[in-house]
Amino acid sequence: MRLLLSLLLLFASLASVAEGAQRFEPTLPPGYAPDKSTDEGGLWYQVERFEEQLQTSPHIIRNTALTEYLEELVCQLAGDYCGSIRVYLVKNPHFNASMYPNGMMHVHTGLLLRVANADELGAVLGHELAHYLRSHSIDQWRNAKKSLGIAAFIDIGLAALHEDLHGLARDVATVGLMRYNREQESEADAYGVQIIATHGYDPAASVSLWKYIEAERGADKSKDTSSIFFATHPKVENRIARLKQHIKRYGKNPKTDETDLDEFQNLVVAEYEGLMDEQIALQEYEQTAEMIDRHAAIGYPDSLIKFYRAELHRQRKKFGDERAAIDLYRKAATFERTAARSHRELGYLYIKHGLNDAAKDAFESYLEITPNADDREMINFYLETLR
Amino acid sequence: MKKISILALACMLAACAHYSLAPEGAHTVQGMSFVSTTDWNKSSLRSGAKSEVWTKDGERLNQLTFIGGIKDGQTIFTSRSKELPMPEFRANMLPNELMELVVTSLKNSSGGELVIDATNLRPQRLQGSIGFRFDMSYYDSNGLARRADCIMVKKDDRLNLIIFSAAGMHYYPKEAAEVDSIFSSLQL
Repeated sequence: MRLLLSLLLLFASLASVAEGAQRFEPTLPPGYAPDKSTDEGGLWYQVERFEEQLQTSPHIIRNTALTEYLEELVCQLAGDYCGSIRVYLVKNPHFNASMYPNGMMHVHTGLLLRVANADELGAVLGHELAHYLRSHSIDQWRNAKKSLGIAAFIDIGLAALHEDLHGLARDVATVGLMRYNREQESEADAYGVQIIATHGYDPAASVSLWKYIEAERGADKSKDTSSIFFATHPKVENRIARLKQHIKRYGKNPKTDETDLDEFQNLVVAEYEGLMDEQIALQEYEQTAEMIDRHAAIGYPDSLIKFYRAELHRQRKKFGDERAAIDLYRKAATFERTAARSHRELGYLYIKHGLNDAAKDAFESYLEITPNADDREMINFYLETLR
Repeated sequence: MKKISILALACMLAACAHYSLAPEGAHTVQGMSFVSTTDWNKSSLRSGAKSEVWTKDGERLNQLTFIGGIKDGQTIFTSRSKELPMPEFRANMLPNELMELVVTSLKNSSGGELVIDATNLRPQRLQGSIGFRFDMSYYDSNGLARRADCIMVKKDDRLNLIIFSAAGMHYYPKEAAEVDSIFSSLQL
């Protein structure tokens, strides 16, 4: 038994050395589509039906500067395969991206708050593209079919595909249709690094992103293991160690395209409130605090950093949080972008603390900035009763 | 045996609710008194221990959810996920926080992924008290556009609320006047 284990370990380490030195090539040609009569053709058919539903789904963000940017970046990284990949930005605050066998790629909005720059975004997209280029989905689908028995598999597979969009992502992963195995994930990591490095992006971005993800998860001890994402992906520590091996081969690319980097960050900043409101609503306060710290370090606008730190304190409602929220809102209220919402929240917090005059002033400031606010009746009610 | 349990599961998933008539007139539900001007169907479905659900055409098309007597520290819907716990009601919450409580509870009842637009927070004068009311619009997980109208009343540090939610097309506007009249007649 011990001998077997040592042999396995030896084999695994040899395999990883071999993988580290390997230069990956795609296993399918550009424009690939399987014969419809094959099992792969059948899988594609199901995924294509799902993609059709997705095209009219309200849960997809379309035609924004951010989606255009994503499409361009994916196209650039995919090279000759650009025409085979379609990227969909899914409204979902969780950290994830996924790749389907027919070239459909999903990127969650939650990813955009977690990648610091175009390099880190590229690292995730490169990883997903690698799954496509190495035909991981069909390989895994065939494995799952073998182990489950064909009849049971088709039943579960079809049920999953008829689920709604949000349910689908979960159920498909649950039945193993899209759940890549550890080897495939490791290969996608290595190939992903190759893809971004050869397109002028910093290969070290894959490590900085995973370090951050680890920090965010570490911020909350209460939950992690049940997340499908983490259940199906390699252990973060192992992953970072192996990614470091891969990036050594490429060295650091000189930053020739600074404007590109700024463009992504600016696009995130432009959509920041919408993205962050959804993140805060998850009530994952420790993780969100970690995220805001990172955004501050990146250099996202001070107004947004102060305002969302205030929001975090106000919504967490632990001892001392309201005081901290008031201090931060006061600062955020001095910036044009966050003034209105800050004044309104200050108004409510002052009422809680019995500071009626201050509350009145804050509400008046709020209505001065946004006289047509949809909650003006509520604010006017307080302005009248706080006399 | 296996077949029976599969049937039972299918029944649960398909929400095999049963119904009884809630005729037009005066009612008291979960401690809230009001007057309806049309007949409704009381469903056996619940969203939590202190709730009751009424519908006209089936819960997915339109439903009135009554939730009454929520105490400090309690949730308005039953928590189903440790990953995504339901937010708790606090007796000192102001209307903006009550609105966030309802919105986050609804989001979390659907995996935290619904993007809910909550607007028009406003006071509503009721007999003997002040309630707070707001509107919601969102797409459910099937991509169906839904609208909702919610009234919240705090009494003796307990939260009472009614949420009317319906398919945005036809089913919401069809009952809007009736719901407005029920909300306006609310007494605690």
